[in-house]
Amino acid sequence: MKLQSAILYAVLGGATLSAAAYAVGPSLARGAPAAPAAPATKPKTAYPSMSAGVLHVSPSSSPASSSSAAPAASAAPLDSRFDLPAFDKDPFPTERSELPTSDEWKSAPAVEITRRSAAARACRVYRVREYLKVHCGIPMAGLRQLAGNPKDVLLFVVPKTMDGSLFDPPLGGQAIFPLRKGEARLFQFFEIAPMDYEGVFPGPSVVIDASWPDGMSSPTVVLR
Amino acid sequence: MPSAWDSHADPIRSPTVRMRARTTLTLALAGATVIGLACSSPDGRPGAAPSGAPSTSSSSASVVSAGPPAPSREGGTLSRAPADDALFLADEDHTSIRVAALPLDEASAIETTAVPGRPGQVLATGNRVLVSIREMPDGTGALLVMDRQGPLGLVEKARIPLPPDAWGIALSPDESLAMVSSAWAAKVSVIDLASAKVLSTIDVAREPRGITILPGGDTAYVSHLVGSGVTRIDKLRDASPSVRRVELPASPSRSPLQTKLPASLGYTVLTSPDGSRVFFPRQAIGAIGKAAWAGTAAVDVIVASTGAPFAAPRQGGGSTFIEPLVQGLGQVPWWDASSDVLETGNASFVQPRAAIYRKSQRTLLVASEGTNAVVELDALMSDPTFGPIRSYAVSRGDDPNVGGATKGGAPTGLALSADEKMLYVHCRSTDDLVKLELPRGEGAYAMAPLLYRHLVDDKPTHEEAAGRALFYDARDAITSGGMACAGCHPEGRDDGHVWHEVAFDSKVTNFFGSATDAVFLVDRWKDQGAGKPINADLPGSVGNARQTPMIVGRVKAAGPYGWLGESKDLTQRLVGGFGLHRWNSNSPTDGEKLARAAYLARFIREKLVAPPREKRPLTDEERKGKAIFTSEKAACATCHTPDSDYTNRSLASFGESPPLPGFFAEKGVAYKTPSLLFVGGSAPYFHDGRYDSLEEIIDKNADRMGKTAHLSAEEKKALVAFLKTL
Repeated sequence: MKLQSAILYAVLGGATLSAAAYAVGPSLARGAPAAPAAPATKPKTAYPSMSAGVLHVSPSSSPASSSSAAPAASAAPLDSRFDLPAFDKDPFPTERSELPTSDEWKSAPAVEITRRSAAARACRVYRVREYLKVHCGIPMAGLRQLAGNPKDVLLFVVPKTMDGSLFDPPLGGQAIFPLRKGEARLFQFFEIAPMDYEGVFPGPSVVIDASWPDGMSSPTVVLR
Repeated sequence: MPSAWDSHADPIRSPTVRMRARTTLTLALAGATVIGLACSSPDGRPGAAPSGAPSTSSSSASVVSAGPPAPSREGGTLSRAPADDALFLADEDHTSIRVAALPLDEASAIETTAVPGRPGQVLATGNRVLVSIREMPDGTGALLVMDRQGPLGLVEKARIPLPPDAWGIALSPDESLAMVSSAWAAKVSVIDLASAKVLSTIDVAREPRGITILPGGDTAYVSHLVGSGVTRIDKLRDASPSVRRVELPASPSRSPLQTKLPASLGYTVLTSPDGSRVFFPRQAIGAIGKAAWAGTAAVDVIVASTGAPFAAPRQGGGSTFIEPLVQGLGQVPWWDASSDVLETGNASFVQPRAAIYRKSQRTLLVASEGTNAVVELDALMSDPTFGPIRSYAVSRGDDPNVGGATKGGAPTGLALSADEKMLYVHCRSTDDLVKLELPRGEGAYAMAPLLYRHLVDDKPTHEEAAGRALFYDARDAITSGGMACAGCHPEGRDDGHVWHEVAFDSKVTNFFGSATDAVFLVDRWKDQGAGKPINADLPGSVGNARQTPMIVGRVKAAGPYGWLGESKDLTQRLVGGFGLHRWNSNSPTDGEKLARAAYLARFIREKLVAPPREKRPLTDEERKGKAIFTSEKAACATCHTPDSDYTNRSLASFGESPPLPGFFAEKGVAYKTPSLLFVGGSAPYFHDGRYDSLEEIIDKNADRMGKTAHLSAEEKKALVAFLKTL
């Protein structure tokens, strides 16, 4: 089924990134009946001061792999998430491979994961070998790995600094991680939460839940 | 995610619907095939077996069900008929099965069938209904196989004797086998329904509750009310099935680094329709979260075939945040992924009591006893607590004076309509059956008015109703602080946990589930001007060790109460407990606290039911143990006085032992002699839970409590056997 989409353009570190804000109905499960589309999200102006920032690089990342860490993203707009191939359509390699290079990510196909909620409509997923890249174009305070092995994991929030108010945060965060049998990882995006008695706080936002325990024939990835 | 979370999104107040349930007793004999059932009994209880009635199971023809298969193969307090024409409700508090006609509306009939003992669960399949009985008149348990008779009637087809406290029921996919857990007896029975015979009775860990049988029909998982481990049983049809304990640390995604958390409240377990995943809703004690002094609720998921957990533990993964935010937030290192600060919000439910799988949405519906709600979670996630979709509030009309729901309190059982558009909820504290219309998909929705059918017309006093509601309701800020009494004392029993009791001065103390919680929350309190704990050796050793005591059946005496006998009576002990558990800044008056404590004390003493014990004479070994117990040489009975619930309620000191890791080293403390009633089922032992079994505590006693060093191995065994009868 065709869904409306709106494409948000942000220039990140010199690279053009498209963050698709999907207008989707209530049911977002792949394979589940899709509901009628809601109105498209209003495009947001790109944040003026841009510089790509990497706070965390996995300690185990090799120099070669860290050199491939630039968070370049495909600029291809996305017409309908349901037209995308499933992320596990092609079998996952059984051997570990190095982190994909920037060029590999540039040509990586967009894929769709097992299920996403409406809250994750502004997220896009790409796959290279056993690696997934999840880019979420949402108001961003930060991104944290909550659980699972940190090896071969890269997290980005762009930009790292901002000239404006904390209440006008930038768009954009990415998680790159492997999806290997016997592993599970949980990530959480944070947005700027309303003030409580302790002041400004990062509020929990989209969760990436990726798991492939022993005994399961295929992995499960949920954005919620 | 929380921003899409439609918590309590029902703005519509439903009109009060308080129909008197049409109650008829349809207890009847099912002809010659029924053995051991009569309409009356010497003790006057309807349906109780007459003295001399055979206690063996029916040897008649098969009791395998005819008709369509069960909609759910796991039992509950609520179960829907496969034909979608009736709901069956195990009403433990009124020793009956209630049958409600579907579709449920304000006028639909609800009939009542008395059963011979308190029912634990019910499971409907075909034209049959399986009912577990916790306590028959002789103290044993049983599985009743009942036939539907007429639209809403039930008659007993067979009665299968089981160990005491028969509770959880599961059915194999071909419906040839049933399994029943006996909670207090710590056993699981496998029953061949064709012959109505018990194939095997299996010893398992303490408090087995929920059971689920995998699609292959030869493997089952069992949840436990106490502890993080679960039980896997293979080769179900063998005379001696294979049993193994599967370690399953609770909520690894919310655990302190390098910590495996204990669990409690494992009332239920269920399998996904494709048989690949098994879900264990429960409490993760010590899980980190905002003000999570008791931990937080969890749904732990395993691969059915292997037992491998879906969720990964926290390993100090990375994080990245925009720098102005990091710089502006100063002292709380929430951006540091290696810290044990987890500002992701706690689980969206409290005291999980029941759960059901919604196939059409691939979601879990979990009854949140403590918040009077049902939450819908994403069943595809490795940790479904990170995927809350909606919360459906089922309570209405809180008591304006003491809190607690007056309608829809303590959701305990769940059933879905065949089309999964209607959810039926059994609310135990207010005796209601609630119907709510479930939306499909996600996002905003308008909730239709709820339908309430009140099941009982016994008109409790305000005090009775308030005490009952408060026992289960975690929302009252004066009593609970996010966990109700039933959160740590399920059914008045205990969670087996040892808490960190942190004292800030001689009057203010608080409980923490783990040393990590204590260190972090105490540190945050200090930032806000609180004093330094007086029983903390930071970092790492915080608070006095205090095991949750079992309360049901042990609180008849006037007092004193508390591990140190610090409360002169039960009401004062409850007020003290409010302070230990209450995590908010309001300052209730003494009157507010005392009223609640008085209502709760009455409920705990008069309405909670102690675990069943078989009514039988002592065996030779138990008699020998009793002789040792009461002997002057052993002197057990000097302090554990038999005629006052096996305690003299006095303080005793046993010297000092090194504290367990994570706890403060108390000096010169004397503890009140605990009652030994029900001691056989309430491990671990000692105020700090350092002994896992009665055998261990006697072996390592070293004559500190009475004199046991002189006992032979056989005599110690006999003493343990006697203690288990108390």
